[in-house]
Amino acid sequence: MLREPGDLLDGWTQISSLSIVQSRLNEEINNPRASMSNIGQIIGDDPGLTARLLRLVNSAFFGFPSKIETITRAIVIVGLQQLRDLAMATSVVNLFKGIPKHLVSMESFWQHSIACGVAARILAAYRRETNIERLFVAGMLHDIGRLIINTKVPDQARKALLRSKFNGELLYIAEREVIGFDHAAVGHALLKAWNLPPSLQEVVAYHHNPQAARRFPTETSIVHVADIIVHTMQFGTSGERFVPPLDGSAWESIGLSTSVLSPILDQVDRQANDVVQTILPDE
Amino acid sequence: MGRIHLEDVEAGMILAAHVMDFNGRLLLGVGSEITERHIKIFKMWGVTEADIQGVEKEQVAAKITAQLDQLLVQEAAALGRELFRHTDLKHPCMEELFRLFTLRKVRQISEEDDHVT
Repeated sequence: MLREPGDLLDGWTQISSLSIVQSRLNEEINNPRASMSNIGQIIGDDPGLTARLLRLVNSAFFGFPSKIETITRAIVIVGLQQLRDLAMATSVVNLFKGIPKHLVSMESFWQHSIACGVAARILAAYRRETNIERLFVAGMLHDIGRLIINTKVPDQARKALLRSKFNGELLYIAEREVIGFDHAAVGHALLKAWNLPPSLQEVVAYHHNPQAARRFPTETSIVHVADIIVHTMQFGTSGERFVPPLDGSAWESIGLSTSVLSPILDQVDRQANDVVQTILPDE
Repeated sequence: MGRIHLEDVEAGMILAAHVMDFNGRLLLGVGSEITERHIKIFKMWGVTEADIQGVEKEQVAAKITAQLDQLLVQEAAALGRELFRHTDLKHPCMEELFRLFTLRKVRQISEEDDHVT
């Protein structure tokens, strides 16, 4: 019997390439004598990552007028921390390559996740937040716990999906009933085990319950709303059949008018497909 | 007067309030007649709505829906009620998302129909 979310993490905590490139990047960024060419080299050591990052910075997501040919150039234009965040996001997708997809197709899962990241980034841009790429990453990882649940306890995952289908329940409620905790708790445990930034951990943990976020309420509220926006667009799915309920105070705390919703849907339409094609691993 | 979506703003309408960008910089003053060029500039500066003399938001929304095939609107709204069943549609944010869902669904269904015939 499972007692807590951490019990599902067997085999997922000692993660290879994500943490190696990531920790080398962090080390270099925190080094006062860091140079852009060093950092370019760390990324360059991973040709797959280099290609994905260059495709991403050249996509509709950024919409730069001229082509960015090198990682060094990308660092200058996008920013160092931002590029590190994007590097992490694109690497996570690769970690989950090849896990069984009979419950939810990986393409559909990443469509929903990436669209949520795109929507969160646009919401942050309307709020004139700094470093909006971190919101993209947070949105992209918000449902990551579902991949762990589907891989580790597929029978219970299926039971929860069926409950949601036949009782018309929200999937995260069904998960709590069947498994004892939901995908948000599992995602939180995973990001904690991976030692990812506390802001990401909190957003993932509370994206269905933004009022519980103590340190990063704004980021959490943004991803909470982005998730709802993307659900109404029905672009991919992580298994949830319904638009999750909105926390009214989260919406208020973002402080945007409802008139931003229509242009945001149009912008997600324009960008999400492009980003999905860029980030999804080649089959 | 009423605040309406920028996409529903047409040349010739009269502003009932200043239009500012998100830095609070004045783009066009109250009482001005809007031209196509203004609309383009508003878009460039991230403006999403404008206060217009002599129109109501509900009127504009109703006019847009009235132009659509009412059977499709009903079909889309029925799908929407199922999809949104766990949300509070009285909340302005959800009300707007439901409206946008319905419009997009109508467009999608009629495109699929065109494809079949």
